[in-house]
Amino acid sequence: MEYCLETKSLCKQYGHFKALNGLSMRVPRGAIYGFVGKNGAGKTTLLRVICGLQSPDGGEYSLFGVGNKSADLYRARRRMGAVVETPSIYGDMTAEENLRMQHRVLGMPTFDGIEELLRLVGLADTGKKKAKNFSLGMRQRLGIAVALCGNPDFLVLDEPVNGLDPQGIVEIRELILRLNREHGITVLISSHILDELSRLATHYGFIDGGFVLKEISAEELNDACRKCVRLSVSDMKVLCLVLDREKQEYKVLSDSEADVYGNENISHLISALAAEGCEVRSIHEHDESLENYYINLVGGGKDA
Amino acid sequence: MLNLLSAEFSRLFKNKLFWLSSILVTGVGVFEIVMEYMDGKSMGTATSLDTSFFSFIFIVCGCTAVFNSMFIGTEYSDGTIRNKLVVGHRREQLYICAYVTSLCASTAMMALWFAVYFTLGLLLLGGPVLGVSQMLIFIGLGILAIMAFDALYVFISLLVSNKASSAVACMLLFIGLFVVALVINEMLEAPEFVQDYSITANGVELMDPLPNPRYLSGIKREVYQFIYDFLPSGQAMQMMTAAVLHPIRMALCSVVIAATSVLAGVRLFKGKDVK
Repeated sequence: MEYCLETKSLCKQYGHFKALNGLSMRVPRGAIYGFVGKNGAGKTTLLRVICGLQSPDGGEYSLFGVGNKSADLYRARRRMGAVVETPSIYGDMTAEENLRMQHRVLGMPTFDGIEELLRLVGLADTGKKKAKNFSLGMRQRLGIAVALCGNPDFLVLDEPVNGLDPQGIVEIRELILRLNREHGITVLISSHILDELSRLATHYGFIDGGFVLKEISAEELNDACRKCVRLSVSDMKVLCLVLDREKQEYKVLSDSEADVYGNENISHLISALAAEGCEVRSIHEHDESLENYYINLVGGGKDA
Repeated sequence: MLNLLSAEFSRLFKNKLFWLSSILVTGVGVFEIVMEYMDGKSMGTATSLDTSFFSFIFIVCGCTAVFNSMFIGTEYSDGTIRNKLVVGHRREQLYICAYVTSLCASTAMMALWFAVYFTLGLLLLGGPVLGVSQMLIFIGLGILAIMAFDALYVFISLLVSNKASSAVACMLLFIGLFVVALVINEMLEAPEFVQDYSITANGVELMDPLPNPRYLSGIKREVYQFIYDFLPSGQAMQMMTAAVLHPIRMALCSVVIAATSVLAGVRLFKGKDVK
């Protein structure tokens, strides 16, 4: 698999505080990678490091396969755009002027595509309004538009829906999905709004204490969080036979435990098992949300 | 690098503070010429172009202290410096670009001052007392002093991320350097001997001159003179009073200050954590 970003044992320390503590992660090409962690877990520090705003104290990272110690890294950076923390826009310029400025910074020969970019982020009608008078959502969208100048392959967004109203959240979500699906842009989003992330992400990385606890694809996560009934039985073979006969989806966890998916009638299942001489020792409904999954992973932290 | 410069120049020409500073420099130039002309008229004294011409160093350096800190500080306060770093511009390029833009802004302000003095000034005050070659040397030294000041302002503005703090630091540097120059000037200007007086029944009698205890002599005088030549503010004072003693030393000092500031600034900026 091709990766836009790979980090290996990245470390970053502020005084005595270890913001990144041997962080390793991989963002596959074409993914929307949700980077989940509580406040102070190291999300923004990682983004600052990979964006070249800060240098790592240890470890290494690569962008599009180009290592951070390589002289070509500056060229690889041309393929990325980022909105780290607040949108980086000139307050005393209009939306169009901000984009023109970024075109100049990138050395683009013409200003073609600015109108299209403004339309894409829904800021085509802002006219001569200065960016300092924009709403938070508009500023966020303009920040993304600036990051999109130069047609990057990799977009890094730090808490893009923080502080937005519900309408703004929907707009940003739709924009990110459109960029990923229609333009093939790989997106790395850091967020602690798990519900919002679960509507977007194709991959997740869970960070705590400066290192990634787990990386998982959305499919794997869905499987892990799927609604099921966890049965503990005396005879696993019988359970499998009965479930196969009932054409029921299940997953054997151990000699005595299995997860049964779907809307199986529990009393019917217990009767069938009893008829075969299999005793049901315990039944638990298992319905894990992304939030539960995360909290279980980090060990009960509340501030995701 | 050229891309960055193109972006910075386009921002410079749209910057209100730059135009405001330019208007201020022009206004002060016109005001000084008119005031000097009126003073000359009322007192019946001859006027010349160079009496107040070299105050441009003081005016331009004062304006650029505010302008540089605000112009560069905006990159931090608006966060736009990140846009440049994220897309792969090197920090040394960013630093040099900020310095070049700062120099261009100062040059534009100086050009306006020169334009005012060489049109209205020549018309109202007449030609300079200094010879052409001396005028050119002084102008060159003035430009070098401004380059040194700009280098110091850029150093502060790029290394202090807080816009308000860097503005205060630049203003304090400007004021502090001129206060130090004033103090040294006063010490160097102190006469070697002071006249002593005696009041007798016949009236006030002049005594033999006494050595002035505040007079600087020997190595101490040389050290103070060197500091006076070294500081760009000291250089400005010397040009404003048309009392330049060591032009080559002054030029070298300005170059050393500018080069050291830029080199140290680039080195420190490369290691700076940008938020």
